[in-house]
Amino acid sequence: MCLALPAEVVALAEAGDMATVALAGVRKEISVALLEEVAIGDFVLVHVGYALHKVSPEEAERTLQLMEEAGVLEEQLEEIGA
Amino acid sequence: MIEGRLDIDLYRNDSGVERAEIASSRPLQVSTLFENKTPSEVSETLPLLFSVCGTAQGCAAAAAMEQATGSPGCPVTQDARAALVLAETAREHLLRIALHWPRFLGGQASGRELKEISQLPARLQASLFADRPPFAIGARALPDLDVFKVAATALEALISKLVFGEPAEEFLARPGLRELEAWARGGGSIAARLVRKVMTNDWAMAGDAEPHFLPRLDDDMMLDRLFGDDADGFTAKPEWAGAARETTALTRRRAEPLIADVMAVCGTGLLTRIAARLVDVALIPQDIRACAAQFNDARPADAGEGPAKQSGSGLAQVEAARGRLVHGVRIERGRVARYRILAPTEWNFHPAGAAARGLGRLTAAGEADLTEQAGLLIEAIDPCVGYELRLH
Repeated sequence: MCLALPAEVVALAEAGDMATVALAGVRKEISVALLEEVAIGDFVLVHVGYALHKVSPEEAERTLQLMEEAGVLEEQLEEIGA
Repeated sequence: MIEGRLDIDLYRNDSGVERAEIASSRPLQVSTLFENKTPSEVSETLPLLFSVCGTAQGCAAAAAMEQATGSPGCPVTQDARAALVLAETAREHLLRIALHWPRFLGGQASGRELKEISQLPARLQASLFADRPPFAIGARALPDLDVFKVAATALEALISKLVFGEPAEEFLARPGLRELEAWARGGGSIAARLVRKVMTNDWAMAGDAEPHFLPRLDDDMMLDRLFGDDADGFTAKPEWAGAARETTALTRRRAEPLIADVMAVCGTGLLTRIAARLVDVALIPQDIRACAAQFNDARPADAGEGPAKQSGSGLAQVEAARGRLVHGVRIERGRVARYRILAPTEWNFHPAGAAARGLGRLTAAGEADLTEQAGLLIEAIDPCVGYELRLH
């Protein structure tokens, strides 16, 4: 259903529009090519390996809370970690 | 990641694919989160959850809930929302073309172009709603026509430059397969190169299978299915009149002259599906202008249609980038009692749907060709989630 997961940018590659994001201890390499500018500490919505846009820390927290409520967060975290 | 995934397995025999199996792990029960919330709370929650086709989702939610509460948006607001959905469709097509199609050609789009594409819908939204949330219940559009025209022109210019290498209108004036071929032969854009590759490799008819296009659906019948005894089964693996239907860019553009001509020769093969995507994106600038046609009317933006019937039930069918998106809602005593969403990927990637049927008709003998054809076909039908393709 076109859901995207909010994750925190924890590292930026020196070139190539790539970044590392982290959520609940899971780290993943993603592309930030669609974003105008991104910094460590930003929260971004990730979909199929791309950061779609930035969200505020409050929006990120609220989104994760909703996903947890819907019962989809845990299985998706497992999928990322797999 | 969070969006779930499609697992696509192709079982081969000597002549190509014997059968295709598709399984989905997409989370479908998220909409139950909306139950017991007020319509306003739902419209605030929704953008947090749906970010890929968030505009189409927001538009469908607002339309369904406003219908249920007897407070439909005024015509200007409805048209402005429709323009935003079209802009999102353009963005999705452009990103697909710029990000995914180069994988079949080598090379990649520039970062500058990707950022430009990503920002288009926001510019259009600002011109129509200023800083108001467009899909809040009872929202009113506030079009600034001068800014809107600038944003719409920028969108058209980007489409023309990135996709066609010529004005989109010129591409649309090409009446048939022969002219499409001429454009592909002479063009340097990603899209032209991909069309050329499909033709040169003789893949134009690859994946041709009898289509079962989704017809116009009656709202009441759809509400019955969404809230019937087998609602979970229907939203996971929908069928209509005994068939797994297709709702894609080809479904909505199949009567366009260029598509009808290509389809007469190539059926629903790769070339027809790629051409349908191109025609869809080429038509968006004029569709957006058509939405704006009545912004100029003297009617004030808050002149609604008068009090509407408050039925408690609402259904919205919105053409999103990947096909028809349906939202159904039942509201009791001011709160959502039931909420269901039926997304196009559930139709198109149904185990017996358009993707499975097309993949099952691929005949490439070599593994490399088969993988590439299958990838192209999946991209052309376009799931809204990632997928894993396996050959057996």
